[in-house]
Amino acid sequence: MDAASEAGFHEFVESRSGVLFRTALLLSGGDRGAAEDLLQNALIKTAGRWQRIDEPEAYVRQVLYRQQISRWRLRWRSREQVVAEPPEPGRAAAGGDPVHDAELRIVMARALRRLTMRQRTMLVLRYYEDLPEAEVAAVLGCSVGTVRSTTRRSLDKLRAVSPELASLGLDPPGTPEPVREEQLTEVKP
Amino acid sequence: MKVEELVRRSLHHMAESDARPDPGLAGRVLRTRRRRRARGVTGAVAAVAAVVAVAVAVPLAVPGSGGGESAAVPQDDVIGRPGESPPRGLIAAGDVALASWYTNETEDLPGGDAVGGRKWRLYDPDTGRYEDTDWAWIDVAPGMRTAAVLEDDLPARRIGLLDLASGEVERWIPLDGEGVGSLEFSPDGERLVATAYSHNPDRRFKDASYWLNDDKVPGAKRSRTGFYVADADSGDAAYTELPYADDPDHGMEGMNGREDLNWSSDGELLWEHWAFEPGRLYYDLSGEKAERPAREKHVSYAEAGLSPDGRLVGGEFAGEGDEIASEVLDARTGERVAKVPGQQLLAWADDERLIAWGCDPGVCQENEYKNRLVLIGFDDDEVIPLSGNRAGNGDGGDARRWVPEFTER
Repeated sequence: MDAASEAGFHEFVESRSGVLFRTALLLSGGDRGAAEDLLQNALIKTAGRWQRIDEPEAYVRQVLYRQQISRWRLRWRSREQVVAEPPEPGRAAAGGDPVHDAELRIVMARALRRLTMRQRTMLVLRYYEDLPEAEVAAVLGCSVGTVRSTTRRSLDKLRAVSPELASLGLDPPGTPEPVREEQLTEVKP
Repeated sequence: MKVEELVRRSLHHMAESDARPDPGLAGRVLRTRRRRRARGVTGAVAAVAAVVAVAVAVPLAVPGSGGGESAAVPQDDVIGRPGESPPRGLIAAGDVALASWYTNETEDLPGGDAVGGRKWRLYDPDTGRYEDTDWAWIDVAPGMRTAAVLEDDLPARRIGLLDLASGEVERWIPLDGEGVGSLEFSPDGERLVATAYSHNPDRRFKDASYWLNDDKVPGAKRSRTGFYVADADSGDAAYTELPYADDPDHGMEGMNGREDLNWSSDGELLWEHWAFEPGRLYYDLSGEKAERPAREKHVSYAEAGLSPDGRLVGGEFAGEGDEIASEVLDARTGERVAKVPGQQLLAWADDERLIAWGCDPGVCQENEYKNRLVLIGFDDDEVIPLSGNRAGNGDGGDARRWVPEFTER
């Protein structure tokens, strides 16, 4: 990497590391150390290809997600991240109830940490990145059917491990689901 | 609220926190990447030596070397020193042994320049230990009977052939033109390549300073002029001009002062590291660019390189998140055939075992350089410690940050 590229890389990391770090935090279930490792490794890979990448942020995100899934697939040292504390509380969403949101965040963070890395990654892609199932499948290199079934199992597990979510506004099981627009157009497995 | 909406809302709330990585992330990323690449460069010497499959004494007809009378290198299959860091007694596994190790040292010079260098320790077959030396460069020939050495200050004007048993230089090979800054024995131990520089490649210049993190540090200047190929038997040395490769698409000013040349695994070609794809540039012995050999197509920065039988390649770090693992590739297809618990794959002990930097669970999460030498059998997943853990003091300069060089024993 020449001096100009290095300067560009510094600038990119300086401006985008916050938002990328928060994505890594979601993927790691709020484990700050794991999130830093995840992001640092993704950035090392990015630095190696810096001069050939048109959209570095998209590239880093792709590496983040695939790293996380690869970890799950590993023959070696595949393990879950277990942390004692939820991530730092942040600002409440505009217009929301700060107390309710903070409680929800804590409960949900705890519940997310009970999921596998693969389950967590699926949920982040589906409900944080808001990607359609077909795009999640493309990012992770699996079938749409796998995305669908893993997402469903992940949501079921969230309900099972955090019954207190019901008191925070969760509908009881069996409530009919609204059809999202994307579901009408996506590719079938 | 549906569970999907609850998850969506929660994730977005969590992501709206003010959490940020610790300051200086870009610097840490680039430093880590540079260290991994630099270690790939320095370790390549040992990796090439390790691919020689047949255990032979170095074929040097050095007068008075005492050849066959010298103390034999122990041949036990695995000799580990899990309590020693840096190692004091011999470490070996399979076909290779830790022949020498060094630490990097930097001295500030008056006026703002600095000069780096290596403090070498060399295995002494008489004492069975690694002993301090004053050589500026050491490369031990396959068989561990002879070492090629350079004197301080680099670039050196002659090459010494040191008999390990006696500790004496048995032959000096004079160099008529430019001095040299590195040496490497060919895989068969018959020839040496010595890279020539017009000034010390480890010198750093104030007027080439750059910012490293928040410090301005003196930088390198290019000075490679070419290389010598010397016949270890006759002492004949022929010089060929070969300055740094230029690529109009990639400015590399001041990146590296040291751009040593290495032997290809068959001893037919030379290569140098190239910061861009395809990672290596090959030359024939007349200095003309050459095609990359097919068997080395998938060799990367990882030091281990080709397995002795040429079927596998010790690949790069492939750990994800906090996992410590490296990949092993099919040398023909480049496909991953195994993932092994090594932080860096350093040398092949034989066709089925690798010597690597390994990390005990929890230790490397604290500091990735608190690693130890391990022997990994990638078919049976066995991991045997070979050394104690190195200190984790970061950027070198510390005597406990030793760097191993392996040679066929």
